[in-house]
Amino acid sequence: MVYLRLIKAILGLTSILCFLIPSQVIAQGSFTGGLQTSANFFMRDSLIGAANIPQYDRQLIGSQTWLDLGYSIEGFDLGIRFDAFNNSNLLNPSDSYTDEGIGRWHVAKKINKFDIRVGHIYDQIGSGIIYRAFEERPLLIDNPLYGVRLIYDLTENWQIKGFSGRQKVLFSEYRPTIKGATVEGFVDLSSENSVLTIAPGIGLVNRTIDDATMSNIIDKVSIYIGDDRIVPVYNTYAFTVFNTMVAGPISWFIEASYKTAEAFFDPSAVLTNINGVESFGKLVKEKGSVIYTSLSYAKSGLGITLETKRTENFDFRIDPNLKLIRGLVNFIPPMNRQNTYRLLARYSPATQLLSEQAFQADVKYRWNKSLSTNANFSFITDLDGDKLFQEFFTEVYYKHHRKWTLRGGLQFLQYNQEVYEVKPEVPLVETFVPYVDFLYKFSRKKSIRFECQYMNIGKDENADSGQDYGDWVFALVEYSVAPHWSFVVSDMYNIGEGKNSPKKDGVKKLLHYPRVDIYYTHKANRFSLSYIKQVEGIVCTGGICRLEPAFSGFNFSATSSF
Amino acid sequence: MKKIGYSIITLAFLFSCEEVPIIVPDANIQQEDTTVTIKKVVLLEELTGASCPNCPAGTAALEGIFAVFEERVVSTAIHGKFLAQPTSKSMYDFRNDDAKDLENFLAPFLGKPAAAIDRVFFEDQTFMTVDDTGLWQSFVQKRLQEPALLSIELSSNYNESERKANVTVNITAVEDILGFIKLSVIVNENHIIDAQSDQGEIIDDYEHNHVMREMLTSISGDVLGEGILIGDSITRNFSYSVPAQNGGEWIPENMEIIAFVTASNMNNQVIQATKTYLK
Repeated sequence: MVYLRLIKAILGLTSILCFLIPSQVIAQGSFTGGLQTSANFFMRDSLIGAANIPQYDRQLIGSQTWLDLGYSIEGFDLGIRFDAFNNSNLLNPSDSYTDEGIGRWHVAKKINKFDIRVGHIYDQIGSGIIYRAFEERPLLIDNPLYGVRLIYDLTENWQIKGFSGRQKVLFSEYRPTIKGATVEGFVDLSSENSVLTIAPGIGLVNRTIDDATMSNIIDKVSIYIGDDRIVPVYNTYAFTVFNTMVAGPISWFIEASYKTAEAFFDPSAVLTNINGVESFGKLVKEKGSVIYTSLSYAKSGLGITLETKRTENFDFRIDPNLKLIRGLVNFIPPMNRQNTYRLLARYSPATQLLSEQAFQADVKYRWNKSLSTNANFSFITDLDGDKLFQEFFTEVYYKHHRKWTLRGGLQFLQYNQEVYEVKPEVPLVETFVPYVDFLYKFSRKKSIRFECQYMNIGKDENADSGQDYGDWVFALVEYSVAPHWSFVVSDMYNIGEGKNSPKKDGVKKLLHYPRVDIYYTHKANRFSLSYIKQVEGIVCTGGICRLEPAFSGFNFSATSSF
Repeated sequence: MKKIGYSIITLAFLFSCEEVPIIVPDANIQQEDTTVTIKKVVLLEELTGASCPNCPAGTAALEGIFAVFEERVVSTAIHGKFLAQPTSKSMYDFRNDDAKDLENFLAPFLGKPAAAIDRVFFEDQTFMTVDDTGLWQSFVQKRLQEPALLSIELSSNYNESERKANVTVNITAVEDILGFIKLSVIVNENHIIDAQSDQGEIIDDYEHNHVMREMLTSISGDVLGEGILIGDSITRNFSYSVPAQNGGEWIPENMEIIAFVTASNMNNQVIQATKTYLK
């Protein structure tokens, strides 16, 4: 492992030298980069649950930094990234992580029709259902392939791609290997009077488990008895077929994927232990499938999108022993609206990998230059028909000349907290959230924005109180002085008592969760300093979610690009 | 189009090979070596909690381990901080300061259930605490293959009228052990019937066993000395007063005492453990 990191560092330095020396000698290339850093100062607040992790107990400060460097010259594309984590809680919100080093590097070159890339490679096949290597920094997901990718242009519109390597994890790699290939194309069937194109493709991915990982799987399976006993396999294959058809204002994407039988962990499967005691959770061996389709229409101010998806046993990981958001080989698209307003985003459904049937409809209509509307409906169940999530969302947007804008709407939501957060004996969370966002421009440079949301939550009959944390109200005021300054003050107040509202001396407390932000932007540099008191909640990026504990303290962030 | 067709056919063949099927052996339970008089006993420190919906699976895995290895394993169920608060149907609160401190001492852990097995950092694991309950038995099995470096004699003399136990621990080295030797003693209680979160429900009458009640030594263990030579013995005495019975808890007949020894020159791993009943 030490040698591997040493080699990576040498490669990194070599790459940097490649950047610097030629830049003085021939000065023909293009040099780009970006910095992102964030530091938290932790201030214990036991009442809201911001306590009992090393940062609150003794470390006090945690930070994470990424520095990207890229250089392009004469068809070569070189990239390297330095990552540093210092008592960071990003990897595990309940723990501390410290390490630093070369987080990513790559060298790429296109020689006529042949594209070569080695190092850490981000890529996906189709919509990502059988393979996606990507980065989501808020959740510290960074799983590029560490290996080789070759692409050959068969014709002007058709290409074949193959790749092989191992999945990156932090500053190392998982041991199992991944190989994959795709053939993708584009066919224009348009005539003089109509537009008709198709973009079909097929993809294949193979994951081969190494002996040490298989040994862990066999250790587990060997204690299974009777019908629980399975025979794991080293190789798993996933296949996908996809196509995008565009016919005038209509666009239709469909993808069907299949995964051969492999061992994966099913948390709801019943295991009979050797002493006869039954418990939940065991390795099972099943085939998997996903079918996903999206149909959209856009013309004359009207936009309609219909989506549906069916997922069965498609937990595809680099190592079946991994859980939660670790080691995912693929990415299954979420089937709900990605909300950004605080209370609207409070209950977001994580994509279910083993059993999910979902539908979403989104309609946008622009009535005139000033007025537009949006309605969205999503409905998610498991394959047994049990409701997991339902959201009905409406929005009206009005723009009055260039002076002020008003955005407002309603959200009705149902959320299966028992499934998404594994909380026992809780009813389906039901919320109703009206919201408004008003922006007023005093001048070309100065503006003020006001945001307000109220969440009314259903009653938990068992607890004789509001569900979860109860009712909330959120208000925000943002004063901006373009192009440099922005000042934001907000508060989230637990206005109605809920089952999980914090208790002090046995009495439930209705607490404020204030936040103050100062942003300063200068050209390509942006800095922020925030005081934050934040309630426990779900953090999702693109359908991948995790439960984040409460936070209390200061945050400093900086981003820069060059 | 020929090129495209050939490419697709090539890909289809590329992934069509069969592999030789794996033969999954039965759990590798080794036969007792009857020539060994002092046997290694493994300690499993289970991080659990009444509000932990996955923890019954961990406890079931642990009971399975007891069924296989019997007295060769001792355990304590640590209801510390995380997910250890009583459920809405709980009568008792199993949390205590020692359990919270021991949970902190064994941290980090990704989630619960998790277990420290002889406080060994096993290969491939992110932490010393193993959160994959399916691996516990194989790790116990690995530790049982280690030789016993010392013996522990543990006895309890319980005084009914005072509800007080005098505990004596005597260790004798079987081999020379270098570095600091530390002793830890924990009082557990079994057969407490109370609520437990289990996936989407709360089990009202769940039987909680090995619930950690108190640590009679310091959390990291009391130092017995620096190094111990073969044949040398060290004795320590402790006393423990059982709190007044509260419904179905604090019942002396249900209480057990476990003792274990760690060695600093072995990465503070547990080198031997044992158990006795309080009464």
